[in-house]
Amino acid sequence: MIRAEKSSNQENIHPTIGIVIDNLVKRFEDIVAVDHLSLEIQKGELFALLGPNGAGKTTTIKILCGLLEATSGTAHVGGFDVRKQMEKVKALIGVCPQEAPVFPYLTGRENIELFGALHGMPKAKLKERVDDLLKKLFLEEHASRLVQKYSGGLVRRASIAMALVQDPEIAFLDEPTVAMDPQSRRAVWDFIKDLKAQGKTVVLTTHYMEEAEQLADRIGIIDHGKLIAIGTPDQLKTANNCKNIEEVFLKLTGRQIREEN
Amino acid sequence: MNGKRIIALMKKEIKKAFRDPATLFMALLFPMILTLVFGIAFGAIGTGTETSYDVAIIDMDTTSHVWADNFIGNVSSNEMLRVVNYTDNATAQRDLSEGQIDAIIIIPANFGDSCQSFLANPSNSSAWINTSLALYLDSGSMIITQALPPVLYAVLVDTLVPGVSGAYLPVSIGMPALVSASRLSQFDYMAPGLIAYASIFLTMTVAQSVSSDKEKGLLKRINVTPATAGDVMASYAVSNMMIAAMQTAIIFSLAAIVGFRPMVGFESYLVAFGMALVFALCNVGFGLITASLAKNTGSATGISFLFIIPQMFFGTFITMPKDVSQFAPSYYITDALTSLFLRGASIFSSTIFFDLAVLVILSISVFLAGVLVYRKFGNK
Repeated sequence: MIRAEKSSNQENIHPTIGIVIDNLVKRFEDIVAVDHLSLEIQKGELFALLGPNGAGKTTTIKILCGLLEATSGTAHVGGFDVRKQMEKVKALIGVCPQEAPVFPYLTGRENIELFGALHGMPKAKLKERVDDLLKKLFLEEHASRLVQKYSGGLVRRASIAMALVQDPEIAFLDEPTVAMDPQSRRAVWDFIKDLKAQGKTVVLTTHYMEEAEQLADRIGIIDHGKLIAIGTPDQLKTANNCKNIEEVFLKLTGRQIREEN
Repeated sequence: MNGKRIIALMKKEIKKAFRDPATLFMALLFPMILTLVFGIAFGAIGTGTETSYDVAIIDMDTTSHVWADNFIGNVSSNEMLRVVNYTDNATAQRDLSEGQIDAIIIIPANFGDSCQSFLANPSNSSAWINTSLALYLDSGSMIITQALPPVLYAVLVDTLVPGVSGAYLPVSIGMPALVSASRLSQFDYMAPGLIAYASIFLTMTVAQSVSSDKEKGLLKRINVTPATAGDVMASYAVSNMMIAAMQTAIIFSLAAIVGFRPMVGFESYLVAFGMALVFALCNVGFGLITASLAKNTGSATGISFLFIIPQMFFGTFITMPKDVSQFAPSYYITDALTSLFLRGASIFSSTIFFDLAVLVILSISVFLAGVLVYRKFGNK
């Protein structure tokens, strides 16, 4: 039993389980993007989902946040069925998409405030939270500039702030540090570590193995839509007799270059 | 739907209208330029300086004398004046207020007796039957207000005592009643159509905005928040209705600067704004349909002309046969505003009611169709 029916979202959240995926399948015509994937992510866990291009990471996240409907199988986020209780799931989650979409004609602050308003945050609390996020993500001095004038790294940091402005219980971060310079990446890592310290459940997809190794409590490696390995970074390295996660990854998924679907 | 979310999304759209140069141009600068250019180009056409003046004479003389006919004949032979025949005062007053004539002269019932009394006793004024010609003049014409009374008196003198100037007569020229008459220029006929013309282009800005948000993944990003599709659609509708209100205010203000001053009350302007808001809903609907069909922002711009061009030709300031035009929603707003501002229709007239009713039905239908088509095909 994943959840018990209660009146409020917070009360409904399962005390220990953050996300449960059971036998999930997603087909796009003749392509199987997610192939009978089963997975449990604990509440407060930072879980990294690794896989080559087109392995099914983003598709899985899209199903979990309601952007795609699964062909079969079930998924529960915070104890709520993503097929039947998406409204409740949306109130729990913060999603930072891979493409980092932002409204170019709004300032950084306005973009973040907009998403806070969409989550129904009261004005005073929203202002306080936006100030805090701008500070933590080193965006303060850029807050009043239009986002269309931001560099790629600034856009990604603003996008993270937009995803997490409502202080969600569960965060989906889809390649949040891609194309960032080392300084920006470190700043985002610190921010993600802070989320973990606050007891948030974080699902992180990344192509940076070092990032996964540094941040994740557990790592799941998927390939061709299937979960092929799961464990703590140390467990994966020991089990595969590798020095680091990159070696584990290459050993399990091969060295052939993949094209995205 | 949630009011706070709709307001947050609406603010975003309004900010875009002011900050995105392409949207700012199409939504607000374009109507401004259009009104000024057309106003300056066509504002003078139809209002050139007059060299002769149309004067209505209403002959109320009930006597059997010929003096009234003589007087009318003499007025007609004056080079400055052109007599237009009217049988009733109401029609003449309407035409004066619409600027079709410049003055009304009413010959009183005892005109013949008065003239006769003068001829019987030219030097004994106590025996005269005094009377006066009633005058209604276009207050906007300096020449007619200044020159017509003395010209008419001269014609009277010439009628009764030819060859004598400055004679004292029992018939006087009454204190003229000044009427504000409108003179319609080519631009005046275009102004109501400009409201529809500017609003039609909302189809393009909505289609571009939705397509761009879709292309960049912003709509999906909004979809993972508690905001519903209804909130998003309502925000597009309300923000564009506000832009339409701004367009209408801009067009009326600039049109007034370049000479469009219809003699209508505040309530007519209120109706105009109301109709502009309703018509904006229709264009948002067309914009959503366009965004659903378009694969990207560029193609949205092209496809939007499928809805813009027919509406432009059949329902703005371009005169087309009604049989064809009535299929374009823009026809109904232009027809209603033309009736209100140029034809002097009351806001409670059947024409306005019919146009408004058809516009409301068409706009709501197109908007709902837009929402349905977008939900089915738009966010793929």
